[in-house]
Amino acid sequence: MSDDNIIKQKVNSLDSLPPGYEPNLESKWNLLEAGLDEGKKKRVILYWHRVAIAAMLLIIGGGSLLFMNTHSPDLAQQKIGNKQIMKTEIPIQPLAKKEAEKIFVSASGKLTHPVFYSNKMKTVVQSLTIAEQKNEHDSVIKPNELIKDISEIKLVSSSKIKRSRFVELDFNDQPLAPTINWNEPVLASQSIKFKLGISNGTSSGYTYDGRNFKLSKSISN
Amino acid sequence: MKYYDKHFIKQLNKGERLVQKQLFEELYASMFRVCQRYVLPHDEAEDCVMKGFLKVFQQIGKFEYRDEKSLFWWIRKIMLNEALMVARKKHNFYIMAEEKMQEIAVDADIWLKLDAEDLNTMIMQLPTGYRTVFCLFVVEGYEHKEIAELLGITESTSKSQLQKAKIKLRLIVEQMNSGYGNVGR
Repeated sequence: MSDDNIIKQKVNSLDSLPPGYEPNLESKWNLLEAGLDEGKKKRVILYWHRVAIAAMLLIIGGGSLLFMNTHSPDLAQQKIGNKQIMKTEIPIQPLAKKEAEKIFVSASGKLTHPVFYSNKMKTVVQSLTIAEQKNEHDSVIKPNELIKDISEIKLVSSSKIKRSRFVELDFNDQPLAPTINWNEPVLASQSIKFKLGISNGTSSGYTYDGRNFKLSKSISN
Repeated sequence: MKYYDKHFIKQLNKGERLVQKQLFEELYASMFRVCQRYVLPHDEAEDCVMKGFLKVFQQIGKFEYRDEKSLFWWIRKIMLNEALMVARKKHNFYIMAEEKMQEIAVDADIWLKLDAEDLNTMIMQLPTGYRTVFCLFVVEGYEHKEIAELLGITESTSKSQLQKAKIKLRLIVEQMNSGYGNVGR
């Protein structure tokens, strides 16, 4: 057997207290027991503490949601400056609960485009007023392109839309023909996905000529 | 080493005070020995044992039963961690004493002749760095890589410290031998 193993065995065989050291195990146990009871109490307190925090957060969250619902400004009353306004009526159909977020957009009364609102968007939009704008900052959003710098589209509704909420529009349409009238090339496809948001300051919009959608951005003026 | 069966652990899990007390009383001495190897003063080693037992009873739900020895080794590991935590706070293992020592030869069967208590006392006389590395390697059976991680040192430092600890221990044995005339009373 190696030296290391002999030392290991000898040292590990010591299972009695060192000579001269005689602790009072009874008092030590009492101390430990007190510590265990204290720990139990602390755990109970901690549990209720967490419950209280969760309840408070729920109340605060619920309260702010309620506040936002009752105090959101009616965006239909917001001014969009001197821009040309195209009104699009969205007839609301009575929908099953599961489809409550799906509404149909009828633009210029020619085509009907199903619009899917994201789960976050709970408000049912009854009509949209789309700001049409053409300036040097306009850009074309290609189908399925992730909108990075254009994160806002001025969307005005007669009903209340929560500020700063973004909704995802999915124009699950038939293939759209390339534009003829527009100067810049516009690409369209069966599905155009982009996000709509509402906030103050910068605004963006899209135009629709009955066949084609053109997304545009602008720097607020 | 003490053996504990499934039934005993079940009772521990329920938090039965009598069973907890039994475990505490049965293992106090051996766990004190474990802690004292890394934390020399009695009162500090006692603290380690108490904190260790508190952890044992609070975290017994995490213990996985394998065989009758597993509870003992699980508790021993908790105690070792507690002791190493204190040792690390008190001692910077990164700055180890570099001592020049000459290798000396001792009787091949000196370790067999030595009494366990005497041997333990000699190990306790080693400087903290040497003692910690020596105990972790020889007594606990850790590898140098693991020791390096535990103490925040390099593997080579661990190796050299162990080498020096062994030489120093032989020196201590030699001194005791010449002082008392004979070892293994």
